[in-house]
Amino acid sequence: MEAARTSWGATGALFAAVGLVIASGFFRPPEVAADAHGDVPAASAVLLTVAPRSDPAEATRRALRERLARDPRDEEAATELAERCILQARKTRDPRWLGQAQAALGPFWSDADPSAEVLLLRATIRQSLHAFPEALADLDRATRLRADPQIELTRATVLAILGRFDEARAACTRVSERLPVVGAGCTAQIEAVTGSARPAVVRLDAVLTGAGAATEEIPWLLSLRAEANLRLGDRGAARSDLLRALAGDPLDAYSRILLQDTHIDEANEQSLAAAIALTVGHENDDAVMLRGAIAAKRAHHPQADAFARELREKQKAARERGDTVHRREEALFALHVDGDAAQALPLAEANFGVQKEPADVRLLLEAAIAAHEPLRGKPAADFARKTKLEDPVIAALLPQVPQ
Amino acid sequence: MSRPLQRALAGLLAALAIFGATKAAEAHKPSDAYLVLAAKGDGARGHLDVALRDLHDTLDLDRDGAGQITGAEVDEAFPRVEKYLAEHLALRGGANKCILHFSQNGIVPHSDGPYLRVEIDAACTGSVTDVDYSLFFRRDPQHHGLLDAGDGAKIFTNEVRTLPLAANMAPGFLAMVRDGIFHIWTGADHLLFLVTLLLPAVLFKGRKTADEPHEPETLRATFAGILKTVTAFTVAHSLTLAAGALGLPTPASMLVESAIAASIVLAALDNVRPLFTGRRWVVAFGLGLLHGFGFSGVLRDLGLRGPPLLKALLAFNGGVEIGQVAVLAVVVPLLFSLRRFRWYERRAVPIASLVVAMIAAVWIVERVTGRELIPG
Repeated sequence: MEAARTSWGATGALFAAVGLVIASGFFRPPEVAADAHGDVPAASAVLLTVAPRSDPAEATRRALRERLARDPRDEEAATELAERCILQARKTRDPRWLGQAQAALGPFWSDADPSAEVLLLRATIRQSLHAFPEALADLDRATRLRADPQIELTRATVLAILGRFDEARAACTRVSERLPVVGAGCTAQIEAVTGSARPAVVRLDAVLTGAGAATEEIPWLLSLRAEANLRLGDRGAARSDLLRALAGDPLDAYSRILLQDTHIDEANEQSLAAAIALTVGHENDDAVMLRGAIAAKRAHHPQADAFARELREKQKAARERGDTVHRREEALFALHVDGDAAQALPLAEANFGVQKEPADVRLLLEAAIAAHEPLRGKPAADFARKTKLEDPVIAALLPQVPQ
Repeated sequence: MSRPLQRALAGLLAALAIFGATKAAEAHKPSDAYLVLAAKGDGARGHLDVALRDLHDTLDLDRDGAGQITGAEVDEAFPRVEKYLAEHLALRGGANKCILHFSQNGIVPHSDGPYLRVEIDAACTGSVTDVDYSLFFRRDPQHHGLLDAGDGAKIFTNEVRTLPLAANMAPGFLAMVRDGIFHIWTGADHLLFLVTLLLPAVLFKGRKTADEPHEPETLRATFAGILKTVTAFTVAHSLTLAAGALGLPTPASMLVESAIAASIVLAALDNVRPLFTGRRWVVAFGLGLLHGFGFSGVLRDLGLRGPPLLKALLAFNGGVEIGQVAVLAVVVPLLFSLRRFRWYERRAVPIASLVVAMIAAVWIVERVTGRELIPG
């Protein structure tokens, strides 16, 4: 019976093998997704939520679009609609609104001789798309057309991102002539990253304790003071300012991200949990979610992989469309979530070529050191030394980069 | 706030964050649409995924203004979607525009929310050389159209609204080799025919009864014999594949498909009781001619001419052979190892052959009547 048992086993093996060969053919589609189809939804299924027609902001935008449909050269309608779309982009962090803002400017966008108003809006959109040199060119043209503190403030911001601090400081001085409080914030922002973080804090203390600041300016001023305090290594002071700023303006993504970064640097269980908690209700904001992913990873959170997966998918979609807007976020993700310094370093270098805020300096240093190529961090180190950038984390990294 | 309470709160918030994070499928992303095209006979086929969000912004899908777009509203809007697509998407060969036919094909999720999938069928008078695309740019100049025509992604932008197509749309050599391999592996009838040929091929030659032991052949000799049969089959189907692909008249597909099924029935029955008196490879050659016509449709559908067609033919046929050899490499040693068992010749070969014959018989009926009897 020994032979019989073997033979039945072999029969099974034969059929299993043939079955496997056939099945491997059946279950592998020859053309990827060629015949894939979507789900057919029920008639009553809600597929998408949009602004209802009764929404006043939506109604205003609709009315402006109708005006533009009647007269595409109605500059007042065009600029107002663009402004509202930019505001919407800030509020929702949805980049589609930036495209719509550009569309709102319609023929004015590509005018040979745009007005100062159009130039300011175009620069704001370009800045949001990280086209900083183009934005600056628009702002330079706009200042020649009109002396305007709003234009100068935007110019100062762009110049600071580019690391051109002397020009930025001069622009801030011109803002101060017309708007002293805003000008003080502008100046403090430059001081904070050029070796005068302490005077920046003092300046902002004075503005915030005085009566001159308008309610809507206070969250902004608080976030500036938080940044100056971070340069001085005072995370506690920064945190309380950022919490106040967020209480005043929950949609202030800048403060939210800064607060998350502060929590992540704190690096204890509680602060990491707080960094994750700050993502609640902001799942659409990739930058906020990136910090959530970093914190989740460091906290060994059970959902850390889910965070990472979702971001990876979004990055893939962004790369497919040819976007390079989020180099900083991509590099941070590679470095801190994937732990892939070799991949992070070129991204950090490319990012540093575009923007030079303290976060960008630190990112390039960290990536270069982690990739065991400290020499490639030299541009950031040189920049930090030249601009006298104060920051205890950066200061600790500098000795690891050859002079 | 006490420290433990603070900790508990942080934990709760973190849990909420994760819950929200995994639930929120609609992340923000700039506006994109995804266009996938492939040449097909005289024209092209493919699909376009457009974000409901973008369709709504341009065509106002929310008919009742309630702020919720339903399945019914999308259905209702489809004629307008079709009209809009017809005005903003064109496939053409030089100045000759193709006639586009659009059909709705459900909702597909992308990283930033639901998209409507639209199937595109383009009928053209010549080969397609260019695609013109101007969807959504009026409402959002940052919109991108991502074109996938099988040769890496290309992008339509507000500035680049025309992309070339035809020269690159012929699938690459490796892609055709792969198609050939998959064609063999996914075509149940070809696999079945191969296996049917192989079942008795490993048996001892000239063996009449199990009581008369013969010198067992080596695996190598068995393999050589099989190779001869398979090569005859291959040469034959390559001939008719080439003929069909090059545009020579081929029998109606229903006839070919039915005859292929019939050939399988005959080959299977031959295993049980010999029907063919001639050499096995001659039979394999004859049936191979038939099977080649079956393959040729794949190449004809690509609508290629001249050298690209020859290249595709070569690659596809190469793929078919690779797929075949791969199956042989697995099945032959396996069968070879089984031949020493008496039950293999006495039971397994006839039973398996009869099962194959029955399946193929059902196919004949299906293919002649055009009705599906067994799903798959």
